[in-house]
Amino acid sequence: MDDAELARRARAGDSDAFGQLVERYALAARRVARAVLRDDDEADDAVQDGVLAAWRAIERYDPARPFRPWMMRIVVNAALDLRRRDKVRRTEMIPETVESRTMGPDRATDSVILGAQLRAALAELPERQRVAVVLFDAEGYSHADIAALLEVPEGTVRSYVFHGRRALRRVLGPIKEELQ
Amino acid sequence: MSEAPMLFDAQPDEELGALLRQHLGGADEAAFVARLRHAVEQADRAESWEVLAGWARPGLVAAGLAAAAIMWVVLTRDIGPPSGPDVVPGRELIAGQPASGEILISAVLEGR
Repeated sequence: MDDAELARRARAGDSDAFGQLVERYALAARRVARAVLRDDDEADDAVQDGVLAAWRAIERYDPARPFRPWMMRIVVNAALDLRRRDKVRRTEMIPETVESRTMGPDRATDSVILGAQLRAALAELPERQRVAVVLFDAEGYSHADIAALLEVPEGTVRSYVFHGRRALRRVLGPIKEELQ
Repeated sequence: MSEAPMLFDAQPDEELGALLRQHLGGADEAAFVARLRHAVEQADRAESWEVLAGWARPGLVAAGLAAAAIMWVVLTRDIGPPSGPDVVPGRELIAGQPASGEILISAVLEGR
């Protein structure tokens, strides 16, 4: 069953149809939430908050429009809200793994180091740049979709993606060379 | 990751995208999806109860009023003076009946 049909059923109150849509997009939503929030548990909570908010607001969903960006927008807003609340509460910490780049040639360790560097580099980006890069490069969203989702002009999204990528490449390039 | 990015690339960077997906994903994906589905089911159930509770409040008030009305009717009927054609004073009943001969004779004989 395609998204439109599932969304139509969900809008009519079918929670199972909504659950199937959640299954399709939960992991992409989780990755985006993790790009926004450094803490994985908080990111998971943000996704859950967003999914439940989407379910409560399902009557307001316009079936003429695609479901995926609609739900992702709600999840991104939930993650951004949580981050704003969290910023007040505590300062961010760089994971210890970033410091331990001389751990050895083991591939799993390399992957952990690269992952930690990637997340640290992401954390340095302004949050909208971060969301734009992850949605564009990792999740395959178009510039237009991201523009609608973040409520900014498409040109601004292109700029976010360009600057975000450049910053990530600057950090990741030397690490990759070192690990090779 | 392409090393010489064009200004405002129109295509996703496949290598960077794969890295992001790999490092932003989690190991417990199935459990996470199950958690979300469970949360939706719970929210759905909670919503149904809220709807029922919404109906229940005025329903309880209406049932209370109806019970009070029934009680009032029952009580006022029991307390009030009996009326109607089927209620006849006992004396009238006795006086209205002709005396039986057998009863009179047995009363006279016993009195002896």
